[in-house]
Amino acid sequence: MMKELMRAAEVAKIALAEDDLKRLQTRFTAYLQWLEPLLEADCAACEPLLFGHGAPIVMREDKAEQCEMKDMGYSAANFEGGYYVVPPIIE
Amino acid sequence: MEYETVIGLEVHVELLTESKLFCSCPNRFAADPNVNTCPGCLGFPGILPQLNGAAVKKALTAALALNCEIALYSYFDRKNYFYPDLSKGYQISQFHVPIGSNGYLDSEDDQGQLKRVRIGRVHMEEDAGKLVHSPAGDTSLVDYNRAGVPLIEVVTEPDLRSSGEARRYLEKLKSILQYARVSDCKMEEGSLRCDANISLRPAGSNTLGSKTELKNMNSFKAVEKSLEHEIKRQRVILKSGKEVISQTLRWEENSQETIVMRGKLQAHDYRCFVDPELAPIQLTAEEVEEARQNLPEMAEERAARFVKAYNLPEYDAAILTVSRSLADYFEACMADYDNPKTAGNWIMGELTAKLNSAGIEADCCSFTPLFMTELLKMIDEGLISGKLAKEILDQSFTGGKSPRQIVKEENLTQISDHGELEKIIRQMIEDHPDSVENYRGGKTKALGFLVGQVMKETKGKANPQLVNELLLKALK
Amino acid sequence: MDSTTISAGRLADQVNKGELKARELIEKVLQNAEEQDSRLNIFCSTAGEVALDQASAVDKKIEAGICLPLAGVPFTIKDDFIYKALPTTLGSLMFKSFYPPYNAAAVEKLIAAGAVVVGKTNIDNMGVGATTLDSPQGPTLNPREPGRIAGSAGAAALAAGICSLALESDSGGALRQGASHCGVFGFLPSAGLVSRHGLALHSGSFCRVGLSAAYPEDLPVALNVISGYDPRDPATAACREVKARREKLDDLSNIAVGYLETLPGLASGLHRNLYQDTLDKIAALGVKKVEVRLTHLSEALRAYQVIAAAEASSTLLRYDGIRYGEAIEADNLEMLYCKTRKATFNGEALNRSIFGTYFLSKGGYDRYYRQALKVWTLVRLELEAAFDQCDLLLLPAVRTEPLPVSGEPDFIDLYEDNLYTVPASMTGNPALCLPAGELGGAPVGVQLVGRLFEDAFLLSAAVKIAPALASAQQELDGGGN
Repeated sequence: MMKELMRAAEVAKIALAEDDLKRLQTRFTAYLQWLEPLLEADCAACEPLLFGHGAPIVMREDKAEQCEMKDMGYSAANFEGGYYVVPPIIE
Repeated sequence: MEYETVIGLEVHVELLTESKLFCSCPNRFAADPNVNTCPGCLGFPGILPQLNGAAVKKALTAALALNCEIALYSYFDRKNYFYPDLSKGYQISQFHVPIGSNGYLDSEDDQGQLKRVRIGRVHMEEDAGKLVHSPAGDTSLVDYNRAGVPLIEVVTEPDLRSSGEARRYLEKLKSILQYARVSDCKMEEGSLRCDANISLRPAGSNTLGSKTELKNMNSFKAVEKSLEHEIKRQRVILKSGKEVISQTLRWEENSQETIVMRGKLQAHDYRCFVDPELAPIQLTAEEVEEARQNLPEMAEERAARFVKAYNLPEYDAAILTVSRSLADYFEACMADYDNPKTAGNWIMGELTAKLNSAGIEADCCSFTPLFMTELLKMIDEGLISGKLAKEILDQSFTGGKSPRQIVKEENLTQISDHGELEKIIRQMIEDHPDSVENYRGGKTKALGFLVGQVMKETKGKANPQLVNELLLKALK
Repeated sequence: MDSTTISAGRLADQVNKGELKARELIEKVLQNAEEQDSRLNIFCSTAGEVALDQASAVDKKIEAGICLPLAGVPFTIKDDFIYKALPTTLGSLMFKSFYPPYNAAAVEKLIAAGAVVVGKTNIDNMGVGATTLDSPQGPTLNPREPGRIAGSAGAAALAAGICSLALESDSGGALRQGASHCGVFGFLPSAGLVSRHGLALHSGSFCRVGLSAAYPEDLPVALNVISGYDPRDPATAACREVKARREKLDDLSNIAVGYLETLPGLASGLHRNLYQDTLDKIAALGVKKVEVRLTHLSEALRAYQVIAAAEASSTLLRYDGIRYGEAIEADNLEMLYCKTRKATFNGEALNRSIFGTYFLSKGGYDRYYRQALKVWTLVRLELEAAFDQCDLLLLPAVRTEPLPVSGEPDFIDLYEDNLYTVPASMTGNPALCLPAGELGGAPVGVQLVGRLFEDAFLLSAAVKIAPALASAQQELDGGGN
């Protein structure tokens, strides 16, 4: 279980210290145990419900609208010259 | 041991809509970064995706034009992964149920025979933004103008057997999608992107070999060359008894070689699941049938129509309809000029040469159909010679002035006045008695020389047929 | 004047008639809010000048002869809604000065109707939870029993007499449970009725906008204001489809209320007795009682947790520090992501980000997520079958007293608290929590669930039923009615 947990933390990109991981592992084990009744539920005859509310999608008209974007950048901690700035990425 | 090449292509195509797929930001090029963005495509909290109906129509049209089975009921999934150009941390795509599947496109193999390439899926998804490296190289810069632009992804089965087949498939795909008005498919501008999967296997084998993925090709030629390069590389490896490592390679146009891509492409677990914020698409059979009936005329149909309506040879019609913009150009000329063969020749010849060297398509050039018909009419009226017309076209194409304007400004009108020409001819006959004697002595080449002299004297403006005629008369 | 000694409706009435100036009212409201907040830890931010300006604007409109349905009514906004004049903290220190420049639809509509913002109320980290124990500023205290949590800071504001309406969100039961703990009315409208534009939701399937109030008759007016088609939330297209279902209820004796004979999971016999007493009081009004059976409650709860975790693990991926939020020092991209997200999440939001990732991964997808989707079908069928036999369903709202403030509850116990609230969350049905009495010195409510889009019917039934239920009602009535 520890391996799955570490992998999930890696994929979710959340830095966890040793004791965080230990705590989560205890939780995880208890959680999966608590979930047992779900696995045992007899729903072989059921289709998975994909959408809580069955109505099909209502689509939008294809009209372009310009948003006033100059207000958006300032909440980014790193915004320069019109770009969002991140540490360098090696391709 | 003979090896067979197995190629599959994944093509992403930007749809020609006014706005993005899930928000109303403009779907168009912007020079400045982050100007066509809003809280939605920037991944701010609290904004729900609003599906663009026109994008769905275009995706449906594309799927029909590629002979796909249409999923009346389809929905969107989230493909989850981290990358700075992906503003929500997931891409909204159609993983489980694509709008189109089991389609095909007819192309040609290396022997010119009909080759049907199966298309496994056509699905809708949103584009990501763009990453740029800062000049200093110490940071990367993100521009989300492209984030959320509607795309369709077209995936072939591994049916292609050579780099040439791959290139022809792409050309045909472009033609179809352009004719369908789904996309302008300009690879150089990024509205069409192609990744290739390629493997080799012993001839006659049914199992697939270990494949590599090729990325970063920016033209159909580059796709062909990169595949050629990779085929050679894999063949060398296999012949030496080793195994080809399955990896992603980046094509470097400058050095014409592939390098292994690091980092980004480790096996992602995308954890695809249904996006709960988007209700499913439910198309009716009637809607699909209507879209099928309303499919714009495809290249073959148009060529057939050109043959019938304009009495063009099949060969000419085929060339004129390869690209929709060229076919549109031709028909625009036909609205103003009534010699299809002449117009067709000029378009297939001079114009196409100019377009190719400028790297643009017929819908983008400043030498408009009206300029073309203007030019052709001047030739018909005898105002200019064919040779002169070519020069005028060249000047107009680059400078932007109309042919009549150029002729006027540079006083290029062809001299067709008999009196004027006869005067010059008499002069030339006087100046070159030897040539006259030679001609009268049976050396017909001397006539050409004299015609040339008249042309030179008139700085090329004399009507050459008329000069010929009058000279023959004068030499009797 | 204490704004909650009379209903929002009567308050608006007085303002509309010119008997009361909104500005004077709001001045007093803000003062009260400040005093109570220092005691109860209700607010992340208070509106101050913004509120006074809004109140003045209302007064001007009244003077110009305009009538506003919620004129001068003070309301709170849960801090997972975006309102550009105040920060949206999302329950995280990483967003302490986050001002997205747009307004939630529900906020826009309430302000346009004349209501005045008092402040943004405390939430658990990323709005995931029903206790506020995971809040960076600590939990909100229960005005009725300050040694215990309120569960919902909006409900606390109502119970403390600070405001007349609370704009709330609910995915697993937070709104309803908070209302129960504080002795107020907590209403979760049908899915698709109220636009979620501007709600920083974590689960697209379950998060909904709702309202709490001290008086049940205020809910239909407020619902009318915030519901309706909004193209920014395509799910509200449902509003255009909804035929006039049964509207207001005239006669209670024509309807049937469904009840459960067995009540698993309740903390004590006292809770069971309260449920039974409530049922008896409702029956005494002439309502027919029909026993219904919900046999999949515990599977439903677990399915809800898995799906909610899966969705949260994906919806919360956008919090990567690149486009908004506080700056984090990082040499490389990986570090930027991991440090930012570690600083952003804690508590249940952290649990879901990690466990949800597992449920969607290759190892967990079929076993947990797909299985949960199948159980979801079961839950829907079961609730539909129940509503074949009754018009309203009576369920407990909570299974235990509100938690002590200093407690460190077991996370599984917190999941179990949602046992009776998740079914309506999963099916989209409307649900209302009404005060039903007291246990251990703290209020306890019960839940009435209605059929999809029969919100008006549910609310009018509640208005008739409420007086019979609560002694809690009398406490709020104070002096002048």
